[in-house]
Amino acid sequence: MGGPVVSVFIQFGLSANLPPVAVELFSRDMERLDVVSTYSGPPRSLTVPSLPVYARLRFPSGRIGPLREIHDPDFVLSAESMGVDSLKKPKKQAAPKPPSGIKAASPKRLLRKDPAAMQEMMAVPDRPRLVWAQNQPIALANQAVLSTFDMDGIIRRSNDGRTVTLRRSRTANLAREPGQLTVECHSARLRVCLPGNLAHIKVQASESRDGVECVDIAYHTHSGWADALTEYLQNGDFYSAQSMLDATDQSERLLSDKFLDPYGAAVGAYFLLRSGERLAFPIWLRRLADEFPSLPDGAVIWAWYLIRQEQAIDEGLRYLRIAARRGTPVFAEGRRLLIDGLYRAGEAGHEFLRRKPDAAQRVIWASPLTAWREDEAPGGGLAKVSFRLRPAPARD
Amino acid sequence: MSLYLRRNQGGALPCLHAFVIGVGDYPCLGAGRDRSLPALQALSSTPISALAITRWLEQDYHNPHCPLGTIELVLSPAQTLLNGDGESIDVEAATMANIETAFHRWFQRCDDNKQNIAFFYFAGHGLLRDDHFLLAADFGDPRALVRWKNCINFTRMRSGMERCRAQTQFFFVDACQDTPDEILSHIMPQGQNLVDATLYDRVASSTVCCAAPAKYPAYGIPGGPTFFCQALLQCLNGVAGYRTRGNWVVDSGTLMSALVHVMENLGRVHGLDLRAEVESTKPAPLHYPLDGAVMLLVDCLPTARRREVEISVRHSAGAHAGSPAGDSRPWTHTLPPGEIQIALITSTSTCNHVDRIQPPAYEWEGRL
Repeated sequence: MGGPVVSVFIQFGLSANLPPVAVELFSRDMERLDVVSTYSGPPRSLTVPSLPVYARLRFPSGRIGPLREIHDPDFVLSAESMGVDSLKKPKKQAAPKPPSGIKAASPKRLLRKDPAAMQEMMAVPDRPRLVWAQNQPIALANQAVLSTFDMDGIIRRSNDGRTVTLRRSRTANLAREPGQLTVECHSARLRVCLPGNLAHIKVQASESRDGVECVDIAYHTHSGWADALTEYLQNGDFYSAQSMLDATDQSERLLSDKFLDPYGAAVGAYFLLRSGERLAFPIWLRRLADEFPSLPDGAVIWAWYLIRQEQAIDEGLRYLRIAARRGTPVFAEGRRLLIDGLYRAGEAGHEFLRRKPDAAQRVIWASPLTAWREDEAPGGGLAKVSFRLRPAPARD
Repeated sequence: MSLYLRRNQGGALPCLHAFVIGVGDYPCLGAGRDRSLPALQALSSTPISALAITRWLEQDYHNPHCPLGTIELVLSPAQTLLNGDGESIDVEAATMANIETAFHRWFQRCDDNKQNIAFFYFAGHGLLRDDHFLLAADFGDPRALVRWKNCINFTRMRSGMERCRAQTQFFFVDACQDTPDEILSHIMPQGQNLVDATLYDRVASSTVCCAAPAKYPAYGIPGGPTFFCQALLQCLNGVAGYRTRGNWVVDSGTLMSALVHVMENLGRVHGLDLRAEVESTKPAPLHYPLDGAVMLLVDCLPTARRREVEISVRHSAGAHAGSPAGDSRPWTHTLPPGEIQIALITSTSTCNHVDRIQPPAYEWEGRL
């Protein structure tokens, strides 16, 4: 040890298209210094023994960028400086022209729910469909069907019938009701809880692999940093996930009147539970439990915070019962914590476990959203159908 | 007996206490089985993997703050082994009764000191039916009146381990999470929790790494260790390492992400869909390797010309590695951190690339 201590101020240049991503920093001797987030906030500063330092990006998808040497104490982070050109937003592809002799569908006509235009569109199966519909079964390739899709938005089905997407516009208030998606394939049925801040979901039926039909469901919400945090955890990158929460007090901010997103706040709160962090002012956790009854996760989170941090077991159990009465948590972690808590509560919790409506169903634990299969009798479903559910931000 | 090795007594000195289970034989799940249970093949890779993990703990595990204490080991088929201290050990079969007895001893040792590390590794068949069940060698025994008696309910076991005073716990599950048609009609199977906890119990750091997420079979090489075991050992030997205060450390945080990376890379190399499912609470250190390691993955474009290319890698420390033309691609190798020069060589051209590499992995795709 020796040499002068140099204060290196590393500034994160945020281009408009830079997604939330973690930056891993190393000293000249390749000792790990820190993992910080590029999400919004003031320029970050770091004190290091000497220059140069090294940095690399760690993406939510699991991809790790190359190491970049930093000599300049006023370094500006950008896609170019970090050698990751793919951070740039891809150019929009021109929409394919419809076959000749057929009028192009005007989105404006459809948005006014013009029955004649809708009829025209539905009658030509080869064209991409713009369907403004709810609870209308939508057929996919490989015998998959979206039988329930109870959220508003614009649904589009691809020409080859393999992909259906739902896109929802952003509103100021993201505390909308959660929804549910049901996908059926052969005799397998998958139900997925959808958060109210959902922005986009894509359901894709893939080619058979080893005789197994694959249905891939990718989604992202209007809370980019929460999606990044979820994806980091899915890929086991705990430190990068932690950096998302360190950048600003995201979860707490998301429950302010201006930025009302209880779903994003819940994602952050689950991480706080995992990391065992004790909050100085946990009032916003209580707000999540008391003010959003349609989101059972809030009560689950507050219950476990009381149990773990405050050792208020009776009050924690009371909130577990409240959560059980409110229904199925939107997030899989919430369901796991709810069941675990009720189980460990002994007889006081077991009565609620017995009443659990999805007790006999097969939960997909690898999914970040609560999802379960309701398959028919043996011979039909499980061996033939594979469902995969994952967060997939707009780009990486 | 199931106590394979005793290095330290524990007590005042914190230790790592391991419980390793390797199940290869499933005599009750063959042709003459109960038809309400799935037919599951015998496995050759799982006992080999369990032994590989045991040997690693014996020979390579290094943690000056929490040295190796004991290893409980059960294997099926049962066998006699020579441990690192030169003792001949009759390792017991991995039946449920033996697992329960060994688990009880392991729990007591872990419970001795809150700074102990509890290390659990299971390799064998697994089933998913809301909870994750790990099958003992006598699962499906027709003499058992309860069909799901001879299996561990891992979901409940992991939760129950919060009752243990050891505040750092690692669980490695090298087993499928499959749901065969036969068990669809079974109503809420229970299995054996082995331990339970209340809401008053808690643990600071609990890490679970599973070989495959739900619905994907875990893969193993017949006669060799499983891919998950290979990946885990690579990670423990430095791929999951980071350098801090002059020492390399593998903690649960870096171990999880490295394991996911290595499994995916192994999948790309072998043309399989390999994944790991990982979850952890607050990170805690596990192992202090002598050096870090980087999993290098090299490929080239266009893919049609992949096999024309010879790959040569030179490391700044003097090491040299490579793969001749004709070998499968992508190519993988493990190197220490540092500067490397990669060359893609054909009969007509050479493409060079220089970069600095750091754990866990470095991928490069050269273009001819």
